[in-house]
Amino acid sequence: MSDEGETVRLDDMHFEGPELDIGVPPPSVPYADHEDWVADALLEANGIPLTEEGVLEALRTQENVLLGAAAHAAGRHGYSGAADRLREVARGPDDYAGVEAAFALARLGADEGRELLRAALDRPVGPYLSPLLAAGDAARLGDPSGFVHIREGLGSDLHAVRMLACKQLAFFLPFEGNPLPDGTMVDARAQLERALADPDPGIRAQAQAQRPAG
Amino acid sequence: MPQTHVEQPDAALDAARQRAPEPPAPDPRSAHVLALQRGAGNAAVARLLVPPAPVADDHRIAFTAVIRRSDAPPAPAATGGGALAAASDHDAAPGNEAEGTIDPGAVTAALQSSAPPAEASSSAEGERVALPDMRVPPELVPPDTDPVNSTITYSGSVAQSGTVSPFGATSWATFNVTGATVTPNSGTFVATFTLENPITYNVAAGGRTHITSENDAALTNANYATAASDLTPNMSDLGGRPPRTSFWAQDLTLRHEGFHANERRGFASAGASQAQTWLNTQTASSVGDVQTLIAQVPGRVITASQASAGTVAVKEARAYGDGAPLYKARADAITAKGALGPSGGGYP
Repeated sequence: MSDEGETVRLDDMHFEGPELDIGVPPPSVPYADHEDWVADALLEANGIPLTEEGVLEALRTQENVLLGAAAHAAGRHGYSGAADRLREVARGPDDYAGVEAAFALARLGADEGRELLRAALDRPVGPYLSPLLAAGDAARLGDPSGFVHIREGLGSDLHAVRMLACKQLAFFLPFEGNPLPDGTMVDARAQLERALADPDPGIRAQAQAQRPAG
Repeated sequence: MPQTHVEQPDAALDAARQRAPEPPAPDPRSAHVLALQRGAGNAAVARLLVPPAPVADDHRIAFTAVIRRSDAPPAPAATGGGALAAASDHDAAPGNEAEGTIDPGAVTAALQSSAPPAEASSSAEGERVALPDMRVPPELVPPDTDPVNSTITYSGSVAQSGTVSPFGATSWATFNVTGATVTPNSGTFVATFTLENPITYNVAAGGRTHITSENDAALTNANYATAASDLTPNMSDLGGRPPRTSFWAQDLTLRHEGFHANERRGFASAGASQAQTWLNTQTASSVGDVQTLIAQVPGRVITASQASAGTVAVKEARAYGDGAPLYKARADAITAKGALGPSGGGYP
């Protein structure tokens, strides 16, 4: 405990991240399933079995990237036994893993998951990346209301924000022209063109990867 | 939590106020103050330590009330509804207010459960009955919180080291938080630290033969075509991945992994800046809280880096695309020299 004005020196902290080198998904994996593939690959690369028990154990013991991957995998594989733990993760301090957990709950059929995704849209984009993920996940579930964040994110000065916003565009293409809460309409195709003109070649490539055939 | 201000709704109540005994002179190092800071947070303690004028921090209010008798039981206390937003003291800047709430129903329920119920109908008319004391559990009242004002210095380094599987790998998710200091000032926690990010990469041949150039001694008239094919970037595969079945180019593979390493350093640097922005939206009630927030920074930087990278295929295409012209030039040079034939200056 410290007094006002008294500087406290904290102990150094060491953080060893998980194995993140997961190779490249085979070309047969469609864009919409990319994050499913990544979550599974991350868990396997770190020795976590893709069984319900393995994923549940990861939900109890992992954090950050692997917690998010475990949450994602629980939804992808339909592990309903993980629902209680997913509820905890969805309301926990890691907002990004929380969005993964909310998406998983929704995929397991819980309306609560959709509500949690909508709630995640309230966080400010910039300090938080999770609203962009939540917007894309909600769109995959049929709710394009987070598109306003995607449009905003594509104009951000932050590369991570622009890229993550760009990554979600494909999930909004089916909602082209749908009305949005702010009175505008989903203009995913125009935003895709906008991303294709981004000054960063990586974002242009990410947009190109989502361009509809033809 | 000590109540630092009590609004008096009635002058009669004010007259009836009983002042607590004068507290001891604030000693910044006393256990009393430290315990208060632990329980109440820096903002409240700051005000206690440097009061603008002598102020009692413990008010007692005497109540006298006449309540009409009724044979009907009192209505049950409402619980669970009507939480009061941010009822604690705050020094936070606009937009940084803590989200602490007080649920009056929960407080009422806690008060009732903190004391045994008085015996019903056991008192004679006119007889004064002393009720047991009732206390609100401190955990029902959110602590004071102050915003965090942080400065993160990102220090990334890139080095070739370690053992990897073919053809190469980059390890970028190791972080050290060093030199971290937290200063609890009036109304804010000032935090500064360095985020070290030692990035390593390396390559492995996996049994392939390294071809340094078209003049490599390993090239013969029998194998040069295979070597040229192995080093020719396949532009339909990840933006130019060469097949490398029997031959590889160690220097160009190092360039590929170096591309990833340098890109990750840039992503992490931007991610650290973004994490600082996030940290500056947070509030804390103690130095320990700030430390907990700082511990989340590496994970947030990893998330930001992953977001910046895009999908795996797009990320790899950038790196293969960077090396593709060099691969093609080497493969073309091998093909051209081989075409000269053994007697024309080609390969033996």
